[in-house]
Amino acid sequence: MRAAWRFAIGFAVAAALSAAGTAAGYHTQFVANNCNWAAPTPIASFTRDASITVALYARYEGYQWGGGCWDDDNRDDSPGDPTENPNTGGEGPDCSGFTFKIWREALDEGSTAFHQWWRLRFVHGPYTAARFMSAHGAANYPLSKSAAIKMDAFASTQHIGMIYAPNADGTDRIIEAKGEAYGTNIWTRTYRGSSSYSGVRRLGWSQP
Amino acid sequence: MSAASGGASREWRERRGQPPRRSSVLLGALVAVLALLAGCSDQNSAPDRLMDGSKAGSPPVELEGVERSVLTKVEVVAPSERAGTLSSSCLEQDWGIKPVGDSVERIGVATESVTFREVEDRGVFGCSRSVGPQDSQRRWCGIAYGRLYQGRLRDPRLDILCGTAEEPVGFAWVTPAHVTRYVSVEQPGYVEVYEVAGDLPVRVATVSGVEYERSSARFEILEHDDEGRLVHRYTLEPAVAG
Repeated sequence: MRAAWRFAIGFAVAAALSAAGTAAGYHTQFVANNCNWAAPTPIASFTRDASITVALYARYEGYQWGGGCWDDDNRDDSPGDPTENPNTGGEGPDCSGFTFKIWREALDEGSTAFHQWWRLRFVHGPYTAARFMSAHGAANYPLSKSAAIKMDAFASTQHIGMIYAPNADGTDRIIEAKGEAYGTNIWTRTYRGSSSYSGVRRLGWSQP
Repeated sequence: MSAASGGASREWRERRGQPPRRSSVLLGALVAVLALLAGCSDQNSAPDRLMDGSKAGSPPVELEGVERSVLTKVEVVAPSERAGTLSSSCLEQDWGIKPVGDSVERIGVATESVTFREVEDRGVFGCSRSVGPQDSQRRWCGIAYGRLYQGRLRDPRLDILCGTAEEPVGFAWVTPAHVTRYVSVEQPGYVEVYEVAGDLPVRVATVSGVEYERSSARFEILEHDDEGRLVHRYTLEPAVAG
C-alpha cells in the first residue's frame, strides 16, 4: 500500500513538472523580458554590406510569427512555439518583419528614410510578405529577378527572403526567417526561378 | 451599441434639465429606443450610405445587443460572372496563385473587400480598400493572403495600410462559428454588420482600432445566428505578421 502511494505521488509530481516545462516552453516571455519600444535612430545612408552585417546578428536567433526582436547569443531562446501565433512573445523575427528591420525601413509607408532599429527593439512593421511582393510602400519597388543582387529580396504571397549571395548555378544563398521549426539562417534556395516569387528592392542603398 | 442608449439617455436628461428618477430613466430609455427604431434620430443615427454611394440597409432581423447597425452589402460572385466586378479587379494583381470557386465581395460604410479561396484549399486571399487617400496607381490599398490549416486560418491576417482621411483602417478575416449568420464590428457610433457568405472567412474592418506603431489592431466583434441571437462576443487583437 505504501509503495502504491509513493508511486502515485511520484507520478503526480513528475506530471506536474512535465506540464510546467511545457508551459515554460510556450511562454518564455522573451519579448516582455528583453525587448523595448525605443524610438528608431534615423540614419543618412546604409550599404548592402552593412545590412548583411546587421542581418547576421539574427542568424540562429529563432523565429517568431509577427516577431521583431532578438538578442545575439546564437540560440533561439523561445523554441517550439505554436506556428502562426503572435501572442507567444518569443525571440526572433518572421520573414517580413526581418526584411523590414534589416532594410531599416520606416513605419510610415510613404517614407524612404533609413531607420536603425536595434536588435532588442520590438518592431515588425506594416508589411506582410504579400505586401513586399507587390512592392507596397515608398521604400520598396519591383525588380526583375534577373537583376536582383545581394540584399535584394524575393517575395511570394507567403514568404520573403533576402539574397545573401547569388550562386553560379542560378540559385541563391538566402538569408531569411523561415519558420518556427527552422529559425533564421542562410539556405540555398530556388526562389529566383520560381514563378511564385517576385523580385523587390529596397530603395536608396548607398554602394556597395 | 451602449453608446447609442447612453447618448440618447444623456440627451434626454439634458432636455429634462434635472437628474432623472429611475422611472423616468426607464421611460426615457423606452422613448429613445422607440425613436431609434422609428428612424427619427438624426444626430445619433448610423451612416445612411455605403462606400459605393448606395443606401445603407439594416439587418433583416434584430440583432441581440446591437443598436444603430449598418448592414454591409455582400455579393457572392461565380467565376463565370467576374468580368467587370471587384473580383476581376482584384485578380489583376499578380498573385502567383490561382483562385477556385466563388469569391465574396463586400461593401461597407468606409471599406470594400474581396475574398477568394486558393486552389486545393491552401489559403484565402483578397483585396481591400477604404475611403481615404488612394495611390492613383492602385485600385486596391490592401492585399492579404492567409494559409489554411485543415480549412481554417490560424491568423486573421491583419492589414493596416489603408485608411480614412483621419485614421488608419485595419482589415482582418474572421472565421465565424458554425451557427453564425452575422458578424458585427463596433465602429465609432454604430455597428457594422457582415452577413456570412460563400463559405469563406469574413473580411471585416475597423476604422478606429489600429495601433500603427505596434502594427496591431483591436476589433470588437459580435456574432449572431440567423434569428439574431447573440452567439459570441469577443475582442480580436491581431498583429501584422508573415
